[in-house]
Amino acid sequence: MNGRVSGREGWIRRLEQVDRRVIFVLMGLAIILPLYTGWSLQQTPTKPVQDFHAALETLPPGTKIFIADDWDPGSKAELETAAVAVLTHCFRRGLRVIDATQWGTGAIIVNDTLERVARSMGKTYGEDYVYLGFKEGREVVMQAAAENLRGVYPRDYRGTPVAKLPILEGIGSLRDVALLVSVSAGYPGTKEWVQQVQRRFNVPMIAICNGVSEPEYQPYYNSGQLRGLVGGLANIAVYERLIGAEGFGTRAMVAQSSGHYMLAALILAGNLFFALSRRRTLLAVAIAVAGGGFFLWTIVRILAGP
Amino acid sequence: MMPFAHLALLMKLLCQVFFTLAVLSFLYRDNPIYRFAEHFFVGVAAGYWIVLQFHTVFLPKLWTPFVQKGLMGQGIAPEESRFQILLLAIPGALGLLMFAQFSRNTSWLARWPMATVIGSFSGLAIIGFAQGDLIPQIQANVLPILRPGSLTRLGAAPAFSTEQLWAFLDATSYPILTIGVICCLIYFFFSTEHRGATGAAAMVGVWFLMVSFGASYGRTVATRVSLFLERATFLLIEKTPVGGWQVRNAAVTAVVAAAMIVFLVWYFRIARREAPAETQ
Repeated sequence: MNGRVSGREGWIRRLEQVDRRVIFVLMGLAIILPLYTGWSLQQTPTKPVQDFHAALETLPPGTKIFIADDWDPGSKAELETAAVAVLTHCFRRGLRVIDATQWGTGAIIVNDTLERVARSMGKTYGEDYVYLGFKEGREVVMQAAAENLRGVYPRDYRGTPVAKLPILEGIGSLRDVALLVSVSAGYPGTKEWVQQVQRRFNVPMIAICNGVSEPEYQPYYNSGQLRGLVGGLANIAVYERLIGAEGFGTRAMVAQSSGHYMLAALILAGNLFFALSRRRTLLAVAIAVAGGGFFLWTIVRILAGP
Repeated sequence: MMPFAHLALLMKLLCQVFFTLAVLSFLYRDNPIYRFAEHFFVGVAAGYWIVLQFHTVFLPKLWTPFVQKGLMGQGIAPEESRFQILLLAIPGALGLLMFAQFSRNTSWLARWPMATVIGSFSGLAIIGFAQGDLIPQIQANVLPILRPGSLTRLGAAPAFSTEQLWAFLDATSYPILTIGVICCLIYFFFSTEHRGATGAAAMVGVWFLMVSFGASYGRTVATRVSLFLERATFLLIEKTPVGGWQVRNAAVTAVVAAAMIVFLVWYFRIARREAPAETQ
């Protein structure tokens, strides 16, 4: 093909065939550069997040709750942040935490996170909190724990018989805890706890999960099976602000939003170039106006504050 | 001389930085450093799982009770009987049958433990799904056409205000949910051809499904951005306490990245030089 393409078509074609690594670099810069700014974003809490907060806030000090920390290093970004926020909230409120995980690869990181938060808040192991560790069996373990917790976990993560731990006095099954908090990265997680325990044994439950899982768990919140739901880093950041313990979620919000903006801009640009290359001028104008309007509107909203 | 504990912390930091950069190097192109990290991860994960299963399942659930309590009869609790513990031989034997699949002549024996696992998990999952998912979700979707009081709130809200927008969305939420559920169910109803009114409803169902997939995709992207964000913060912003020192991760990242770039440039030069010889 020796035919020369016109100037406009030439640069559209070049942009259509841009190296994917250019897009990686743009995304990387959009995420990394805001980390050095120290800016923060104010966000309004949604009802599911407020309900999640209220579920823990309304429990009297000394109440025993069960935290199912079902995550591993692969979801550290969102769920270590979530677990730290939940544990901080619980310990500040004087709640007593029984913690366990269904994720074998998460057993160590969950223990480290729990110990770090508990130590920083001066909590005593065995009285204020206990870690039961990992137990293979997924749904079987969930159902069995709802019927006989001590039978499933005869010893804690450190090897101490659970009969010697004061925090587990009066706790025979999950029906004896005031609240089940699911910190979930996927399977097994919130969905399985809802199916196997929440409904069948009538255990009140709230969940905090990664962004991928949130659309899947939203129907459980709408149906009242979950009393509160926090999903994704953005909502975790909001929850951090609600409890006044701003951590990684809050610090990361500008960078996260910047990454999303860059992605949205790239998608819009891709569609714009597609429309231009097919000579659909009207569609191109519509995309440009809608995209530009969206960006302008959100920037104005950010500058105006919540 | 640096104490061993501090050296171990420094090595841990180096490993974290190296493997993070090694995996990210795939964004440039496939390369031996990425391959090394990939194989290393697979090996470590396999080893970790074997040890974990051995210590959390095999020893406490089978070996210790069967040998110590069942065969030797030591430490049996009052509520336990020796016969019950000896029954553990059945799951133990089923577990051993799994290894039969390594031989073509005996591989059929592995179907028995698989059948047991699939049967028990299916039973548990079906009951859980019916009781915890299906029935409550059906109950939650039996709704009035309009949310009670929503029209009054819409009428009372000031014109062209954010309050009016939220009231409008509130008033339309139940109808949208009802239409969405019905149309999605029609889309998955294959006993009638999707033509005419059924086809139109199925098409609306497809649109609802597309919106749902879009929401899931958006959340997936948000999660991936979060993952990179956490790694970027670790590599460039955080500091690691080693003894009395605060080691800047960014400095370690710069050194490791420079070493990796030098290696990759050298490797790809050699690869390019050797490539024509191979093709000849």
